[in-house]
Amino acid sequence: MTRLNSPQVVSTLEHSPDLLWLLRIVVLVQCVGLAGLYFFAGFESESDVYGYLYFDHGWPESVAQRIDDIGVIACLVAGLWVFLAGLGSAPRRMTSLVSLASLVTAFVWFLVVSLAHMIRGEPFASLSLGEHAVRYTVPLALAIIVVHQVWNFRASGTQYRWSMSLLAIASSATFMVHGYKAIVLYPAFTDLILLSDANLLGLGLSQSTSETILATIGIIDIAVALLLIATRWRVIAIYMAVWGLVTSISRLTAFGFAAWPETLIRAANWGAPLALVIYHGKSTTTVSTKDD
Amino acid sequence: MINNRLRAAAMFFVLTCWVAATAPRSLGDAPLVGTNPAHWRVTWISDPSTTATVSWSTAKQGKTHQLRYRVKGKTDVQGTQLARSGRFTGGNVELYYHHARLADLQPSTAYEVQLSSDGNDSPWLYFVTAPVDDRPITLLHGGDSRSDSAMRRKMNVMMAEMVTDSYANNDNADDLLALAHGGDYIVTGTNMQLWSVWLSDHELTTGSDGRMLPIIPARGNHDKGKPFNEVFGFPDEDPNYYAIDLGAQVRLVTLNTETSTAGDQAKWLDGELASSRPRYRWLVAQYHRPAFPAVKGPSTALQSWVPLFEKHNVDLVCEADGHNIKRTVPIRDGKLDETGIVYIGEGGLGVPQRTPKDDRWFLESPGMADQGHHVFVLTFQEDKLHGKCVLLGGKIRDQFELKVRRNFEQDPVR
Repeated sequence: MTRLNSPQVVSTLEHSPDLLWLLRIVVLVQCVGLAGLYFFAGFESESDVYGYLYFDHGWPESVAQRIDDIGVIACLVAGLWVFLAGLGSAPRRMTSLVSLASLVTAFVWFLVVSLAHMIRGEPFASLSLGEHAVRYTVPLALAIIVVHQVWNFRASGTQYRWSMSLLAIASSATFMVHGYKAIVLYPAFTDLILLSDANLLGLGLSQSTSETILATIGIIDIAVALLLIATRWRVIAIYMAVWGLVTSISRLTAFGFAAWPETLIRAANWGAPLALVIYHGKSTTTVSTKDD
Repeated sequence: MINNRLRAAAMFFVLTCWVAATAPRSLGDAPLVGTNPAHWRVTWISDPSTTATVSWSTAKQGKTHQLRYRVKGKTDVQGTQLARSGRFTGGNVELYYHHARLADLQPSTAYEVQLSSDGNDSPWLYFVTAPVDDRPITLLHGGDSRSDSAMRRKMNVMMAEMVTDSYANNDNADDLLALAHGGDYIVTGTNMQLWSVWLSDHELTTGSDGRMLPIIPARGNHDKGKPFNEVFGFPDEDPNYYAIDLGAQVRLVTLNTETSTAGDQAKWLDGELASSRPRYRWLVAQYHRPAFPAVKGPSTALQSWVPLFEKHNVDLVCEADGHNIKRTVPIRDGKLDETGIVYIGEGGLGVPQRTPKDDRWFLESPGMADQGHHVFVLTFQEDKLHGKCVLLGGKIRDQFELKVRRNFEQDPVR
């Protein structure tokens, strides 16, 4: 079984364009999802930041709404910038500085949205910081990698290692919380299975069968979350990437195309583990080359 | 002499005005001390013509909790019902619930009740059971009474006045029977301190003559945890979806958006609507998270229940959660259709209001959306359902009518 973060290879991972591109795409996609959800989709609404300011602190509604919109638009612009800036061949210092600021903006806003959700009274909201860990960690992980461009030093293996360690912890946290919610039969997850079945598979699953499946999924989620941290096996990250994609798409299969923002905002659910897969693949390749 | 008489008359006038101005408009705010009965309420979760749950709270555990009841106007106590008691779950607040379950009551009958805990008695209060015959009935519907106790209290006092006024006139059709509450009573459902304040505020729905307004509760997304069932007298693991008759021709289905909507509940709903549609002139549903929301994204009710509402030609659906006022156009197959279903509500029993997104297609004229503390008054008659949205202060913001479906057993056309 091959492992991530083998000490003999991290120093050789000084530049990894496909990994950087993956992270840029994930940041962009989840920012588009965020903007769709809270700004421009057919059923756009306000995030918990608005609810926290308006309902919990009595701020004027227009101010709370404006702050919410500004945060979302800033994330959308940040996501677009990070993606477009990557198209340039040799990024200038100012470009890199803006990219870094964009990533920090996205990190902060996703974190704030998650915190606001945690503070408010929804069921399981207290777990949202862990549940949404991949969302705010992906911009942070990318920021750690691109920070070298601002101060003109080469990205080192240490930066990659820190980034990937953060992504591993975040992926594990997200799967852990999802696993817990699945084991306690979170009703919305049960409905994802039932409605996806009704719309796509037509197996006619009963609620009890769906709940059995859900509990099994939950156990697997927690197992892979623990295994990822404990072993860093690549196959675990592959499973998490595939399952993260399946669960993201389940919003579409359950609720139809109108739920596209719900799918996009979960890009990091598969993107973060996939980054680990790529990173690990590079490590393996490098090790093989060295061994050869 | 004349001056003295004038002075006496003036004093009498001033005194009369003062008494009128300060007379209690509702009966509530019982002190929550020791085993003094407080937080009184009547809940309808099964046949309201013959059963009712009368509940109260005490600050101390006490030993003996019972309810005396009699038909209003009679002096002899008809019976005594021991209460099911327990300590509320949630936080460090020490508070005890007592539920007296009354059964075998007579329909359309006023029952006086006195709550008693360890010899401490409440005043005699009363409620009226639902009718079983085919007569016009009127129901209040609202939701979202969380987060602003001051506004909630005003809404509760207004509802108490509306109940009193509805019985003061000669029009029996407008007599307010009960309040269907669409959920989100407080912001954090596991916080018993907040529930305690809500329960004290809810007492204000009691009229000055002691008339209690029965509540038909739905669970909201903020009503997580055990206290909801403890407050309303549901069994511990109750799924919180049920259907009751309000008269011979009105069936009210209460659904729970906070548990699986697509599984057993949808199956139950399909069966319930299939059996009810041929038997009732009016078929109404209430639940918390909207399928056609005025501010948020749609809940799973859109996939799980709307097809069933349309299949069985439900007449009206009452929603909450959005903190605004809305009435949709009639909807069928995701578009405006005269045979479709109208969705009203979104919640304004005290919660701060959001600005609705009135450019959503289902809210455009002849639908509507607005904001303001409000309650809907729904009058079910033989040939039509009349609804109005009453704002805090009494102004009517919206009115609508639905004709009875031509042949409500089969034909969706009104």
